[in-house]
Formats: sequence, C-alpha cells, structure tokens
Amino acid sequence: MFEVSHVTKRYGKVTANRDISFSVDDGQIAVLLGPNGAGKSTIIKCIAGLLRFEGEITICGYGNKSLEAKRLLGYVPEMPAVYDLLTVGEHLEFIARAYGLTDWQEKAEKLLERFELADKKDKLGKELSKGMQQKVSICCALLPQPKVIIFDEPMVGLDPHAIKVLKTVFTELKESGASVLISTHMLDSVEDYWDIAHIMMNGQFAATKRNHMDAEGEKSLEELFFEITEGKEENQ
Amino acid sequence: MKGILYLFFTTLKNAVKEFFKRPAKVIAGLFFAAMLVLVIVSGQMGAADSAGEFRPIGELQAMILALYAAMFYLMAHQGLSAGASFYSMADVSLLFSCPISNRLVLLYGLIRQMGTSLLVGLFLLFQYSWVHSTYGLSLGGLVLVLVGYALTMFCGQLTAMVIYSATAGDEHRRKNAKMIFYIIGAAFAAGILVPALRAGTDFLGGAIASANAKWTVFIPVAGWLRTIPGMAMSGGLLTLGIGLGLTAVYIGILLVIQTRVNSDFYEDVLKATEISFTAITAKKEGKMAEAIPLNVKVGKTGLGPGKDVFFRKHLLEGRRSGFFLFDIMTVMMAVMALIFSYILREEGVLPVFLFTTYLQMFTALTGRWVKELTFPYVYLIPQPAFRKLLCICKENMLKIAVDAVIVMLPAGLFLKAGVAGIIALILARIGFGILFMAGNILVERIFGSLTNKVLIFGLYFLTMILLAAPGAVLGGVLGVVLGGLLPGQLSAAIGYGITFIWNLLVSVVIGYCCRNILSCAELNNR
Repeated sequence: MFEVSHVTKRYGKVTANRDISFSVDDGQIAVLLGPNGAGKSTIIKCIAGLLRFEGEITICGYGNKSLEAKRLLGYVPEMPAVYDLLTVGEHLEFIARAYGLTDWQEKAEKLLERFELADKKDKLGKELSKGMQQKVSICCALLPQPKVIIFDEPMVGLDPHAIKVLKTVFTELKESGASVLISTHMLDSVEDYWDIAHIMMNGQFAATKRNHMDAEGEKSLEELFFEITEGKEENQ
Repeated sequence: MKGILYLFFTTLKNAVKEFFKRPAKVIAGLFFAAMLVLVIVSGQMGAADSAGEFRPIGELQAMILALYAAMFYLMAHQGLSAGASFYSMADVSLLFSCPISNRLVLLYGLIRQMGTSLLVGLFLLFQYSWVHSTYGLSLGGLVLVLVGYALTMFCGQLTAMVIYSATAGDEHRRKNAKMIFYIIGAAFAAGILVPALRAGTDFLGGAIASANAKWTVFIPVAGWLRTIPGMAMSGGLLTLGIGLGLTAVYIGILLVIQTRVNSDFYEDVLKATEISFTAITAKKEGKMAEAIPLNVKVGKTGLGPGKDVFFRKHLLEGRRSGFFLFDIMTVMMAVMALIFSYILREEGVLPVFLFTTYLQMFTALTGRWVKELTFPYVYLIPQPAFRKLLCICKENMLKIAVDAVIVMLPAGLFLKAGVAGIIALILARIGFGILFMAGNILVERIFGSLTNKVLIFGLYFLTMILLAAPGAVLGGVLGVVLGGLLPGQLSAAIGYGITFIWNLLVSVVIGYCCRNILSCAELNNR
C-alpha cells in the first residue's frame, strides 16, 4: 500500500497541490480524475519522488524517496520518453540490472509479446513511435513486479489492442495485491474496475467515491465528475 | 551501479554502431578528420614560414579568457531561469525512479556532461592552423585549451544547477542571486574594459593587458584556466597545476553543496530537462522552437485593428517575446559591426558591410513566417496564396528594416560614411534581408520536401550566392566606374543602391513564383 499524508506542493506563489491525503491499499485500484490543471500530474510526480513537497508519502511504510521505496514502486509517466540509443530489449535489461532482478528474461519476453513489441525488440528507442514508446515505458514499469504502481494518463497514444491488454494488466495487478493509482481523463476506460475514485479540482480533492457497482440509484462516476467540475465552474 | 554502468556503456556502444551504419555520418566523420589533418599540416607549414617569430601569447590568453568567461557566464546564467540539466527525459522517466542513489545518478550525469562538453569544444582544434602559426601554440597546448573549455562549460552547468537549487521556489532569493550575479559579471567586465578604454586609441592593447593582469585569477574558472596556452608553451606546470587544482576544488565544493545540502535535486533538473526535451522534439519534427521568456507579460490583449491578421499576430507575439521588431541577434550584430568598424577603420565601410551581410544569411533563416508554415492555419484561410505569403512576411520585412537601421547607422556614423552613404548602407542591408527571406521561401518551395537538413542548408547558401551575385557585381562595377566621375562616397552609395534595387526585384519575382507554397502543406515537409 501507499499513503499520501497532508501533501502540499508549491511552485513559488502557485499552490499546485493543497493538503492532499489519501491511501491506496493492497489489491486496490484508485483513479485520479480532474480537469486539466487540477494538479493530478503534480501529485503523481510527488509520489514518484520527482518533486519536493510538504507532508509525507510512504510506499509500503518507507519514505517515498528511499531506495527501499523505489524498489517497490513502478511509474509510467504522462510523456513517454525512452533512450534513443537503447533498443527495446536493452531498456528492459537496463531496468532488470538497475533493480537487481534475477531470472527476468522470461517475464520480459512475455511483456513484449503481450504489448506486441516482440518483433521490435532490437529497434532503437529513437525509431519508435509515441505509442510504442508508451508501451516500452509500461513494460519497464511492470518488469520489476512493483507492489505499488502509478500510471499517469497511460492510455494516451495506445492502440486498441494495447488498451485492452493494459486493462487486463490493471485487473491482474489488483489480483496480485498491488496498489494501483491511475490518473486519467478517459472516464469510460476505468469504469469497470476502479475501487476508489478521487476527483481533483484546483489542487485539492473535491470528492472521493467508492465503487458500489450493485448499489441502485447511485450516481455514476461520469455524472459525479461533471456535477463537480461543471457545477463548480458555474458557481465560480 | 550495475544499471548505470549498463546504461552508460550500452548507449556508448550503440552510438558507435549507429555511426558506422550511416554512410553520411561516416563520410562526415572522415571529412572532419581529413580537415583536421589539413589544418594541422597547414599550421605546421605556417609556423615554419614565420621563422619562430610569434605574436605575444598574452593576446591568445586574453581571447581564451574572453571565450571561457563568456561560456561560463552564459552557462551559469541558466541557473537564474530554468536551471540546467545533465539529463534526458528518458532519465527522468526511467532512471530517476530506479532504486539507485541520487549521488550515483548525479555522478552519471556529470560524466556524461563532461563528454558532451568535450565534443562541443572540438571546434577549437580547427583553430590550430592560425594559433600555431601566429602564436606558436603546439597541438598538445591546443588540446589543453580544449580540456579547459570543456571544464569551463562543465563548471558553468554545475554552477547553474547549484544556483537553481538554491533559489528555486523563492522569488526573493532568486532576485537577490540575480542581482549578485549581474554585479559580479559587471565588476569583472569593468575590470577589463575600464583600463582598455583608458588606453585611448590602443583600446585592444589595453584590453589585452588588463585581461592578463594578475587580478584575473579572481574570475572563477575562466581566470584560473586562461593561462593554459602560456603554461603549455613555457612548461610552467606549477601554474597550470594551480589553475586545474583550483577548478577541481571549485567542482568539489559545488558537488558537496549539491549532494550534502540538497541531495534531492530531481525536481531542480526536471524543468530544464522538460524544456530541452521539448526543444529536441521540435527539432526532430522539423519545427522551430522559439526562445520564449520564462515570465511572459501578457499586457494588452487582442490583435488590434486591421485586416492583416498574421501581421497583427506577429507584432503581438514579438511584443510578448520581449523584443519588439528587433531581437538580441540585432543588438549583437550592431555591436559586432562597431567592433569590426573599429578594427578595420582604415579599410572603409565595405568590409564591415560584407561581414554583417554574411552573418545576415544565418539570421535570415529564422523569422515568424517560417514558423507559420508549421501550423495548419495559413493553408486553410480562404485568401489568395500570394496575399497570404505577403501577410506572413510583413512583420519580418519591418524587422529587416529596423535591423538595418540599428546595425548600419552606428557603424556608418563611426566610419563617417556620410548621409547618402549611411542611407545607401541601410537600404542595401534591407535589400539583402529581403533577398535572403525570398531565397528562403524559394528553398522551402523547391527543396522543402527534402529531409536532409544539411543538404537544405547547403542549397540555401548556394542559392543565395547565385541570386545575390549579379546585383553585387553590377553594384561593384558601377561603384568603381562612377568613382572616377563622382565623389567617392556618392559613387559607393550608388553601388549599394544598385544592389538594393536588384535584390528587391529578384525577391518580388521569387515571391510571386513561389506564391503557391501556401496552397498545399505538402510542398514542404514541416
């Protein structure tokens, strides 16, 4: 599990995240929703250890910037970026060595096959399209079998097959007991499997909703999202 | 550690493999090596001709101080804006989230940066011919100068990183740092320039003397390393060792500050990495990345009256980018023209004009109209293509005129070119500016679908020479012929005027013939 406790992130006078607290338990999928500029990517970068912040973030009990936490964390950034001069296969080998993995080859092969990258294994990063780079980025995050994994807009640029595979991967991660956080604009892409949804507005959580699929009369995630985001805009 | 070593060596191995896979790169590499050999051989021959009589090494040391100090200052200055980064976006995405200690990641970045700095400085080796024949500097000495250059660049980037880390997120602290930075820079510049100005007519002699004064040892990095050529020649290893030692201590102190005081530096390099990633991506996609100030003052909104929507938009963009109708290149060009005028004051205005026109060829490659070709709007707007072409070029034409006045007026006044002469110089520069723009349109129209940018660049230069040559020859011949009949300044003015008329005519013809560049976006590959 991971825990975000009273996190505030400021860029000079601008407050990108204000006193955010939430946690994602083992085997739980949380989604982060919100309009552009709501602060989703900022909190994700804070969790990934890329930004300084006020407050505390722990990954399975370890401070998120510790090496122990990094070993347990997977991160798929919003903007896929791969090494121009490493092949697809070498990206996975780099991750395996950096994380000190053993017997990783078979898992790497499976990942490449699932994401239809097996025939691109010897292609250099600079030869890949944006979508393929995104797939490589996902494979790199999945290879160490992280206990906590965060995806920032993972569907953007992916082809339908990859989206389908990724959705299956989400379910498998959940079943394996991993804590998953997904930031997305595509509400329908997460409708089936989310456990908890946080809707962000102006750097804060405006609403949190648990998934009770069988509950009658309960608002759908989409209805709640528009009620909060559009309703608040009207009020402002 | 294993991961970083793997990343470093695999990237290096693949870079070498990639190099040999591309025949164009291999040919370019061989050409580079052959040119280097040629430069070395010609340098040796030149030195033999000079029979051991060389100019004072202090001159070279002064040039090196100026180069090192400018590079260090420019690099370090980045720390006051977006910071500096040794990393790529792939490092941010993959390396930063790996369980590898921050210090190792920093070390990896530093080593890679040092390699890049050395590569960037390779141009210095091509100066061997003249530095060897003029100052007697050996190849080993020049390699040391290259190492000094790489160290300066490296220290500049490291300084920028530390400044950014120390001031990020605190506007007050950043303003103070900026003030201190500028004061230090101004103090050192004054230390060199004031004695030079006092020297009166021997400005250059004064500048060289003050650049070699003992106090320059207080100029960080550049002051410590400027003595490399002298030490390389006289074998003064102790002074060289002290210079290198001080630089090593400086690097050490900055590293301690960065790792001990602020080990959590990922955020500090993130912004600079993102900016450089955007610029690299734009370059790969053939787009132009505009240098936009960090804080853009929006000011008055709206495009204003008038039908020329592109012209209005370009004016607005120009205002918000911080330079209205002229940019830093124009200012630099004006300064260079003045310096050139001073050095070649006995030769008249022609060398200055030729020099600034040569540089103008490079600056003409930029301009908002080129950027407009990368957006779909200009192709979609329901207006005749020629009118649209004129509209998108209008701001650039105005800019060319302003640039001509700023560059030519001070140089003309300094060289006492007379009213007619100055007006002719300004008109001639405007003519060349418009011709280069038209030539650029022609190259975009005919060769725009080529993907080889080096080839396009070469074709651009060839086209420019071919188009400008008749006007230049005609103007030159007329100037000489009329020289016997009219006062010197007037005949020269007529000569410059002829080039203006020729260039303008050619530009109009080119513009009209290439008007359909805006009919279809496929005509260029942007």
